[in-house]
Amino acid sequence: MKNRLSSGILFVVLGLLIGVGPRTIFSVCPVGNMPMSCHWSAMAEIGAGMLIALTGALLLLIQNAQIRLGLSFTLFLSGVLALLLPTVLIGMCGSVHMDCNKLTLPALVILSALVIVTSAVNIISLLLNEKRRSGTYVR
Amino acid sequence: MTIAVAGVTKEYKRGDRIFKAVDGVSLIMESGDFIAVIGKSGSGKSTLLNIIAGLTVPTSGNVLVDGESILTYSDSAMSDYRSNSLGYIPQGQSTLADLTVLDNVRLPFHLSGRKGDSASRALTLLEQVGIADLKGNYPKHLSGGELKRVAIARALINDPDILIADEPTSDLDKQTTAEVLALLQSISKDGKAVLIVTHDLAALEYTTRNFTMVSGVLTQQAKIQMI
Amino acid sequence: MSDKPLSITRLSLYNLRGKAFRTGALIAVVLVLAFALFSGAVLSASLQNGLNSLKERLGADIAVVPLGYENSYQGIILSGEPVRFYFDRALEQQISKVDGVEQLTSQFYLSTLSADCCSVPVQIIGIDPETDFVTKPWISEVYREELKDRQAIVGADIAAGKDNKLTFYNHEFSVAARLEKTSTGMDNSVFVNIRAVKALAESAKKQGLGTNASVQEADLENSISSVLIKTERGYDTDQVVTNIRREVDGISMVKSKSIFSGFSENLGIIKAFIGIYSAALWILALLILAILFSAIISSRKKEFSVLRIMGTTRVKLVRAVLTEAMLVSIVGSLAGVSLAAVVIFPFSAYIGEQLGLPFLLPDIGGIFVYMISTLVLSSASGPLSAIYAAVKISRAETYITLREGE
Repeated sequence: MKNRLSSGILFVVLGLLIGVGPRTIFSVCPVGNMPMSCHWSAMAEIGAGMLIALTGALLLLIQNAQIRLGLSFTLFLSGVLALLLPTVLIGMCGSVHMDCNKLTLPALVILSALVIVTSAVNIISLLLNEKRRSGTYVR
Repeated sequence: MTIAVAGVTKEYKRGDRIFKAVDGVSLIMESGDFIAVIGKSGSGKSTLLNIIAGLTVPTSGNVLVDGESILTYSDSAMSDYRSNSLGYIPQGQSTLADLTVLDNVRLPFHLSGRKGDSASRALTLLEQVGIADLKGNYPKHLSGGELKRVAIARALINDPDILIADEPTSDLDKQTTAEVLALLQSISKDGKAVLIVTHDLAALEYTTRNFTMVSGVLTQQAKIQMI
Repeated sequence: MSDKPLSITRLSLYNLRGKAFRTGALIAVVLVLAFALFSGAVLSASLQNGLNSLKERLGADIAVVPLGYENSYQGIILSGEPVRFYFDRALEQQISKVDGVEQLTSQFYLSTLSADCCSVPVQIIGIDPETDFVTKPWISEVYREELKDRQAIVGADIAAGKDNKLTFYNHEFSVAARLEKTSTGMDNSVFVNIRAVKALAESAKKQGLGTNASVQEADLENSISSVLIKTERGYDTDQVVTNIRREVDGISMVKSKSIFSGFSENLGIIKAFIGIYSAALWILALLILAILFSAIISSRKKEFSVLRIMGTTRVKLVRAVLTEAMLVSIVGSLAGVSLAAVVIFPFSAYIGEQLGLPFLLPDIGGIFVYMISTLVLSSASGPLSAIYAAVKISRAETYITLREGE
């Protein structure tokens, strides 16, 4: 199914970006004499990002609709986690002029928002499909 | 309703020669008529049909519907005529690919600006033509005969007085041809005027009047009774 | 399959849905257009805003600083890059006597490598509340009372510590107010009164903390960092500069208008570029859409003939085509504007820094105006480009198009 392929791949890509991005493309502040909050946020996002990527990979492979629904819920919650880590739970540096605030934070917010929205859409469409299938079958 | 075609001629310019597709044709149609115009391709029969439907303007002559000439109609009056008084079944496949069978049938109802329940009307017509169970399908899944039936049902949705069909059986097998012709016959018996143009002689069995058309000239034939 | 009436709009929707790739391509063209228009407008406005903000806050016509420190002074104004330089305060008296000087005030600069807030150096600016005319307008917007010795007014980007207090060199200051964002150096500065900052410098010197040679050596009691001058009306700024140079040695002067004019020129060029680019893109999009619609409508000749046969008027046919074009354009516009918003707004700080120009996003009202105008222009692109083909097909004699379509 085209839908399954595209959404699965999307989550893998988003997950990789969330996990690896903060240490590469939109990197946080370099570690000075003491690692700052943004460093820890980036480390935590490696975990959240990999979780999203692997769950996305499972979504590609598994056909069972119920399991896919469960995976989508997991993705939704993971997206929320990815969003909360750099904003509320750990945070970034204090100054708005630091790269972590200018570049990394907006990027992570947008990426996790995408994960949240896409998984929500997935959940809704899977639920609707269930409803349709259990209804009358029209030729 | 009476349609009178009076001395209609249609000329086309081909280089510096003039080609007469339709030459001085006269014809009267009334309710209950099932008329076949038989001729080879290029004989001008399709052009005649299109003149009656107001799709082509004749070079000379007149087309009168209940005494009123349609040649003076504005675009909206003509569209009105085509949508409410006339049902036209074009040659070949004419359904819209992006609509279901049911939506195809009920489309003219809404295009004519009518309000109300078109779906049940459409369903009744689909039952009449025998394909009610295909209502949710898309045209690409239907056979040639089924598509023809959709076109017939669609042509009837606004309850027109006249039904005209261009080669309704041209791409159908013998069995389906018979079914379609029988259907058209029953429609004429219901009180509508039906005119078909065709090169298929099988139609002769079903019609009330026959004409032949050769090089734009229309000639009435005697009704042959098959014993 | 439903019982909903088959209106022209619904018919258009079904048509668009049925040819997903084609519809997607059309939407993509409009998306690119809307993206470029909106982002161009916002970028242009932000640059202009930043520049206006800079101009407003330049305040003084001339700044007198120690010899060779012109660039450092510009750094304070533009980015709040912390500096310290000092010269004899007696110069202030000298300058006040120069012809053409209407008003003047002095400032004292100190920088800290670490307030308790952040690892970004902060500029502390000591102002003389009695003579200050440069920062007063901005400060009085947020704080009307007298600035006491232990109080500070902070710029928009300074993060206040716990209980709204900041500590510099073991002295605690309470944050009395926060200035609005200006996209200038003010955002990164802390304003205290001159007595307080001098006391701070003294204690820093004694503690040997984060100071450099210029602080160690300066006789802080008798030092100031800059003298800011407002010229008398009727006097040319350059003339006053010459006058001052005649009277006073060992100083450099910075004219506000020269800081400003350099940026102004750059901005002018950038804005012109954005304007031309946007217009060209709009025209290009119209052309591409016109070609696409022409091709699409051509390929649907039979469909349109069938509609005419069913009794659709010419007008209705044109409406059907234009409705499809409109739907495509609206979706593309919304998508393009949304995408632009997601790129520009979260990353505006980064963009501003990369551009190296004062960059201040317009207010909500302004953004809304740009959004609406972009949506209107982009949404119009579809119907405008489709109109020629739509009218042409509606005029073609139905019989001929039916035959051609076969």
